Amino acid sequence: MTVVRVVNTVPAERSDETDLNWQPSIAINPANPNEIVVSAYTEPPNNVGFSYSYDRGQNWQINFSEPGEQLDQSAGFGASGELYWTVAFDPASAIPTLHVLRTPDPATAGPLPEIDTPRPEIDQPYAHVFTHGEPIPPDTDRLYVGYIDHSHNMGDSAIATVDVCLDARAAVPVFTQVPIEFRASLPLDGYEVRPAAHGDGTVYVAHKSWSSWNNTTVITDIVVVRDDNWGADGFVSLTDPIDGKPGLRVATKVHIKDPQLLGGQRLDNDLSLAVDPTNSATAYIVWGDNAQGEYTLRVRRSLDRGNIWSGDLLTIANANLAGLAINSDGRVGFVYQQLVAGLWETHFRRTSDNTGRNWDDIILARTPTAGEVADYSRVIAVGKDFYGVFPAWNTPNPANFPATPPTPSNPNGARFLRNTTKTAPWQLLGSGGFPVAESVDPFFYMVQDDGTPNPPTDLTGTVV
Amino acid sequence: MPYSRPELQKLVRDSNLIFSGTVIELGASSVANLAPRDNFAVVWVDNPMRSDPALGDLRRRKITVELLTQGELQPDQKVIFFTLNWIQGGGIAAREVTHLETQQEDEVAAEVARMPERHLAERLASAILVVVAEVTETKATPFDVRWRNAPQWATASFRNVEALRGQPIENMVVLFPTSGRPMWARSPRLRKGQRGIFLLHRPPDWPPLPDLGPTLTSAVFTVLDPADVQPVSQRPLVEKLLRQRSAR
Repeated sequence: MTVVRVVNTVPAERSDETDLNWQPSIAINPANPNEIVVSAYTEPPNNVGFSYSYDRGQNWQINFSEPGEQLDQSAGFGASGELYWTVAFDPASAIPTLHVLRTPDPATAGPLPEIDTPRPEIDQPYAHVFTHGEPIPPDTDRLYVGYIDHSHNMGDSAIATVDVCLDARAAVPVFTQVPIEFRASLPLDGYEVRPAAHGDGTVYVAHKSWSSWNNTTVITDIVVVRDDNWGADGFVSLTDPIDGKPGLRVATKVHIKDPQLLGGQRLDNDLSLAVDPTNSATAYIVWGDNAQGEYTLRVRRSLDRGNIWSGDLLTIANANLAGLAINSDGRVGFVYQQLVAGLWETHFRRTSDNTGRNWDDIILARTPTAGEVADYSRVIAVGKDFYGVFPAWNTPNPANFPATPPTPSNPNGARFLRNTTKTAPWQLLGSGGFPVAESVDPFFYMVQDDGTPNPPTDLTGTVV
Repeated sequence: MPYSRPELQKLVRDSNLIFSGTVIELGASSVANLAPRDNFAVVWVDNPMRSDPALGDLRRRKITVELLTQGELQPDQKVIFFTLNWIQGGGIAAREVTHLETQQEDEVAAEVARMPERHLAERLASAILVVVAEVTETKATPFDVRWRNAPQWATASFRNVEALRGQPIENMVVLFPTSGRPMWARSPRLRKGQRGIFLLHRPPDWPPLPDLGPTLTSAVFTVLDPADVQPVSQRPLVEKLLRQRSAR
């Protein structure tokens, strides 16, 4: 039995909202999955903020905290309930600057304290938090923030970098900035830098090392670095057998059409990596390329700590916004949006055996294209369950949400907190009861895995 | 003590939720996931003056205000709240910047109404050149792959240039963003044949500029803010604001 829930995270109070909620990301408190944070772009003149749920995604509020305008952002929770939020914004100038903020109280947080040195000229911060059980409490939160660093060479190049913090809850956390590019990249490293940690101290990071760009096509290597001591040893534990340098090249000379659009979305931002919490030797990776002409996502895996990688286990043509996670049973979850007959289909798939070749398929949404809506989405596993967020056009038509058919309590299929009609014609309604223009909203989803003990009975999700 | 006009202008600029309201209850909360605190006041909104359009009409809705100082307000008291957005969902909460007596409500409303004009005045003040001109040509610059959020600049050429401020430069290049990404979505898009008033600024530190060949740096300008392009019908207002500035 699998329970699926899809929830539009815009609260009823913001029913007149028509913003493009860009760049959604998600964080779950691993010790209390009722606590969830979704971050996404909110239009000025609001302060920078994030969405928070205290009841496993059923209800949402937006907490505004910082002045300024956010560009990219992502968040992570420690098992203590501490929220770490990495956001690129700058209230004083337009230079994208990484800020790492934290709070023990995401429910009612106001302005958040900053715990890392602001780093100007960075792109696409990606936070990964792993809580390590120490022999003597308290446990420590390991925080890894991946980004590309433009602060060298007058911004004309960028180097894949990870900020490593081995005790992010400390009164004065210590961050170490670790460049993870051990070769020459031209003109820069790819935009995605994706860390994933395991409880035995293994930390993988996937990134793209470009070798050229000719105005239409990027040629890049797909690289995985590994550190066997929580990131403290410089990510040199995995070397490439060909050139002997740190960072194993999973694939070389990968061709990606960039800039090219798919359903209005720009290609070339689909790298994701997940490590199996039951066995740090097993890692799955996905990226997108144009090797066969049309842009195709490729899922591969390693069973020996990243030394040898499989061929394609699963390929998905004309798809993007890829994300991977692995649950406590070693089952892999894979999210992506695929362009089918002019519509974006948001798929969530899980491995159904240990081969990595057989996957089930849940279509969470089928929505119109809407131009560029995001560079990334994200999925996270907590225990046996998967939680994620995706951006989609927000027409409250139940036909748009195949995995969650309408019910008397959820006539729109997906749960909408903002005001909507409850029968056709399907429309968003403002606070005054009048129709509101449609736009792109973040949609939270939860896929409660087969065999989860005592599935919560208060959930309004649909059993499939 | 009533606030002066400059003080009011600063308060209006620094507060993104401004309303006059009636205090209903002290030490209480109207937000589902926000426990009551001693420094909270639940306020009934009488007259919303500045708010996020996403909130719709706030009239007759409750807002929980985190007060700066306890003991200054009493139930049934009517005041103007200058606040910052805090929580929206399960109710609305805001953090107080300050509050004023309702005698100044008309002045505050007037300052809020003047915000677009003040913003235009600020953009005029920071502009190097203000010209009335016609766009003769626009041309995309090579795609900038360095930043995912790059503006993807285009250049515009002008003719029939009449200066309202500054001295037009021969062969000047005006850059504007073409990216549809949120941070650029509000920037002006120039098109061939467009006639208007253009507030031309020096390029900011970020984002990086395209390679413009032998063009002099001093001849490169940008239009980034929505106010940087005004219809010709706004000329009297623009000239008035320029005169006011030069009279200071």
